[in-house]
Order: sequence, then C-alpha cells, then structure tokens
Amino acid sequence: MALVDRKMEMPFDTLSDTTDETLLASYAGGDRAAARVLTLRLTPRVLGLATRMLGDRSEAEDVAQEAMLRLWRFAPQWREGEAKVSTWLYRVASNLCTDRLRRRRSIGLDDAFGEGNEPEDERPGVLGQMQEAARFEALRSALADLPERQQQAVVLRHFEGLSNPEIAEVMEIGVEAVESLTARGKRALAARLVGRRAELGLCDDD
Amino acid sequence: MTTEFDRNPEGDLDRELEAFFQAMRTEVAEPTPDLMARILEDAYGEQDLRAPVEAAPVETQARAGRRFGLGAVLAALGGWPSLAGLACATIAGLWIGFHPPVAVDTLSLVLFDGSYNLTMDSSLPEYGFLLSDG
Repeated sequence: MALVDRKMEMPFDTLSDTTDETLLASYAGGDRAAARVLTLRLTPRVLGLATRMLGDRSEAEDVAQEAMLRLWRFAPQWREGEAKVSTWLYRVASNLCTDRLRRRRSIGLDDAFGEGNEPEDERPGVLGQMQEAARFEALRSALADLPERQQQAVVLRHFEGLSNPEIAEVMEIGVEAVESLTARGKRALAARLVGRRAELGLCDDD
Repeated sequence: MTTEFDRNPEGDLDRELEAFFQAMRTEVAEPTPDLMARILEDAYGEQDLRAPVEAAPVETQARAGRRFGLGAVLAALGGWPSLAGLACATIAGLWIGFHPPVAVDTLSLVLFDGSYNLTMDSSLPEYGFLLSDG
C-alpha cells in the first residue's frame, strides 16, 4: 500500500493541469501515471454520487469500482471533444445505482433484512438518537420509489448540485425535459415523505 | 430555488427537503486507500490486456508474421528498454573504435608495455632455455 501511495504522489506536479480527456487518451496509450491521476481525481466523485444514491458504503464502493472499470475499458474508443469524462462517468454511475435501487425494491424488505432483523429506522426509541440517519434513509427509500428518470434527475440536481444543462448532457435529454423531471421528482419525493413524516418524527424540530 | 414550492401548502416540507439535500451534499465519502488500490489495479490490468493487441494491428498475414518474429527476438532480449541499452553500447563501441581517446592509448601502453616487460624480464624463461632439450 505504501508503495502505491508513494507512486500516486509523483505525477501531481506535472499532470494536475491536464484535462481528464487528455489524460484518458494517455491512459489508452499505456501511460501508468495518467491512470493514477485519473483514479485520484475521479474516484471521489463517483463514490460520492454512489454513496448518496445508495446510502451503503460497500455497495457504493462496488459501483465506483465498476464505473471506473467501464471507463478503463472504454478509454481506447474515447474521441476527444465528444463528451466530458466526468459527464460520462456520472451517467454510468447513476445508471448502475438505479439498477441496484430497482433490484433492492424488487427483493423487498423481508428478504433484505430477514426475520427479526428489522431496519433501524423502524425500531421505536432509536429515532431520537438517529434522526439524522433516519431522515437520510427516509429520503433514500422515497427516492427509490420514484420512476428511474426522475430519480436520476433529482439525484444529479439536488444531491450532486449539477446545473440543468449539465444534467441534460449526462441524461442525453433536453434542458426543458430536465426541468420537468426534477420538478416532478421533487414533488413526488415531498408527497412520499408526507406519508412517512409522522412515522419518522420528521416534524419534531420544525 | 424554492419559490415555486413556497407558494403551495407543501412549502414547509419543501424547506425540509432542501435541508435534507444540503446535508446530503455535505456528506463526504472519502475513498479508502484500499478502494483506490483496487481501482488502480483494474486500470493497470486493462492497460496490460490491451498492450499486446495494439502492438500487432490488423495487417496481411506475412507482415504480421514478420512482426511477430521481430517481437519474439525483442522479447527474448528483454523488450525495448534492453534494446536501447544494447544500441547505446554498440554505438559507443563504434565510436571508441573509430576515435580512440588518448586515454585508451596511454592506458593500454602503460599497462601492457610495462607488464610485458616486467614478466618477460623476470619470470618467464628464455626461448633458448625452453627449446634447449627439444
């Protein structure tokens, strides 16, 4: 590990100004230093998105690794000027997350948590101390119920703080469609949370 | 950002949502060194997988064969890095051959001349002595 860390520091001086797209071309040409800089630069972003969408650290790490692997595999076909690497990665990672959320929904709570092993936000008494965590969980589970495109738009807009034109590029749709998706998504989220707010004590500190 | 929602009865919830989103955004997910190492391993692995494929682009059978031959020789020598060393040594040898530095002359003069004289004078027997009984 120490070896890897030391190697990682090396190219920072020379490659920190280089764009992701140029680095990816170097990577495809076999440049190890480009691989290191891209890993350092992009992993936190992908992991952040996956963590916020899934709320599960180890699942998020799997998604981050998978998304990066797809980038490594796609590198030789990459045409400079076509798209931004970060945009492409957001698309891949958010699609991987929606897949997992959909699978989670279809498994159902019983299978996911097993008998006598209920999720923490359903246990009385824990809510007081874990309100923040429960809120996140409530938000995520409400999010998981949204139609996929709304879900993706809401995450990119409100969790990642991307602008509408950026989201349009990630989702390969028009800006107006993005506005409509985020608005509908947010309204649907609010409606779902209203149903759960008493249960979760969400109005306690209003 | 919240103006559209503030006008409807769900304004409170909307503010709550905004607070959620805000908290969500500030939640930092720092990648562990282990994850970084795994991703980097994938990156190197993909590079290694592609390297031999890209070294032999699609060409006619004959040319591809010839390339493979050269590649095999190269591989036996230890790849391009070793060839660079080999080329360097060859050129240096040629250079020294054509233009021997003064140092080589004087050094060899001192070494060989001196030692030859020394050994011939002291330790080696005379030809006459060696041939005397044959």
